[in-house]
Order: sequence, then structure tokens, then C-alpha cells
Amino acid sequence: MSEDEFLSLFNKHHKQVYRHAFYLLKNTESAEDMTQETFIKAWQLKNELRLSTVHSWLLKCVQNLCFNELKRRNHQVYPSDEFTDIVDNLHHSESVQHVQSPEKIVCNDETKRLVHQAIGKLPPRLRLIVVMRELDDMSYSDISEVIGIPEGTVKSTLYRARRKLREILSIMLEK
Amino acid sequence: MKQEISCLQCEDSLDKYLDNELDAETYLLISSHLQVCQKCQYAYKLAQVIDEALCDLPSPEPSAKLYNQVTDYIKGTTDESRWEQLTLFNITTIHQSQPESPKEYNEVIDTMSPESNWIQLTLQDFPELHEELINPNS
Repeated sequence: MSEDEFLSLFNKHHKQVYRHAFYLLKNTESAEDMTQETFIKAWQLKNELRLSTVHSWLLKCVQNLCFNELKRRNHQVYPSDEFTDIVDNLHHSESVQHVQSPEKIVCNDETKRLVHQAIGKLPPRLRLIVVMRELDDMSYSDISEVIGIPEGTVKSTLYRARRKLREILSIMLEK
Repeated sequence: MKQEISCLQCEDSLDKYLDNELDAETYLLISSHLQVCQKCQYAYKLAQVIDEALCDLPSPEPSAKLYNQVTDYIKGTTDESRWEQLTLFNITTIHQSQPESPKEYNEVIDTMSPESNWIQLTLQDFPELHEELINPNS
């Protein structure tokens, strides 16, 4: 793989690789570090990687690096959780509006913001599968290939994630 | 006899209900249950809100720094760059060996073959150093 081919590969996939790292680690700097490490590994293996499978390889690689980082964090002081701030910034809403009472809840910008914050409270693996399915629009089969679990388990994990989100959102709305 | 489902069963099937992934019989059972159970109606409302919000997930983007770091690394490991690094290393080597005549300078160059041509080419970019190496006593 030439330098130009590799840079074109980087341009095509780096945003998705970064998104996965960010949703897993919830910190922009760590996410950039993991993305950088992923592409450096890919460059080092450029003669062994096949173009047909490199996308899946990149996602597996960043996922492994991030899970190792999360394990490491269990024993150390880790970077701040920027998830809520980043989500808020991306929503461009400076003032927090009032959410409707539970009985009258409707999907507006504020409830969307709460749902997106709730995603940050999901366990990392559930969060990752939600992002792959909903943000990346990946098929169950592609998710299954990257995560290394059967397609049926991907589906049931997604339902579990949505159910968990209902519980988290419900608590957030009660506050 | 009319079949009924519990709140727990309803809750378990809400997302499949939203995704239209239930068989007709279960679908009707859930619909009937939702008409009479306020608690499940609320859960259904939440499921709808979540469903809609998930279609619009925030997509954070990396900074330009990432691109620069990766491209710097890649360029730093290409053949051309390795030549440059090697050449700079050789210039240092020439300095350290302190050739005292053009002959000695050429001898030092010869010990560093096959890169010697590159060294000479690169040294053209450093006229003063090149001059000093060719005529160390001048």
C-alpha cells in the first residue's frame, strides 16, 4: 500500500474510528490518541492488510485499544469524562429548556439531548453497538463481524441497550 | 377466553413493537395492553422518544492535529525520509572523523557506501559545510 493509498484510507475512515473511540472513552484527547495508534498500527502492517477487510480491521483495532485503555483506567486516575459537555456543545443549546412532565413527554431538542446524555451512561459495549447501528448505520452482520458476537446477540444487545436507555431516561426525567 | 399480557411482558416487547418485529397476535396483545395500562403507555412514550433521538446521534469530529500527527508519522517512515535521516547521520559522521584532505574526505565517504552519492547530493544544499569538508584546512 503506497503512502497516497494509505492517506486516502485514513481520510475515508478516520472519523468513524475516532467516533468509536470517543463513544467508548468519553474523552477527546484519549480518543485522538487511540485513533492515531490505530492508524500507526495499520501503517506498520500495510503490506499485510487487505483493502477488502481493512475497514473491519480498523474498527476491531480501535475497539481493542479502547477496551485495554478502559481496563487500565480501572487502576489509575483517568482523563475527565467530557461526554456530557461534548454532547451539549453538539446540540448548540446553551440554555436548558424545561422538559415536559413524564405524562406529556414528546421528542424535542431537550429530550433528545437527555437521551444522548443517557447514552454516555450505558456500559461501553452497549454504547458501542448503539453507535455502530444508529450512527454508522452498520448492518447486524457487519457489527457481528467487528464485535465478534453472533448476529442474534447483536440484535438482543441493541434491545437491551434501548431498554436500559428507558430506565436511565426515566430517572433523568424524574430529577 | 381473552388472552392478556403482563406489564413485564409488554415492557420486554416494546422495542420490537416499535420496530414492527412482532407476530400479529403479540402485536395486538401489546396494543390492547397499552390502551389500558398507564405505566406501559409511559414506557412506550419513552421508547418512541429514544427511537427518534437515536436517529440523530451527535457525531463528534477529531481535530486537525490528528491528521497532522498521522501524516507526520507516515512521512517519517518513508524511504525518502529514511534517506534524509541517514544523510544527516552521515554528515555528523563525516564531521566526527575530521578529514584533513579531500582524499580523506573521499575515504570517509567510501566507508559509507552505497549512500555516498546521496550524501554528496545533500551536501550541495549546505555549501559552507560542503566547502569545509572538501577543504578542511582552508
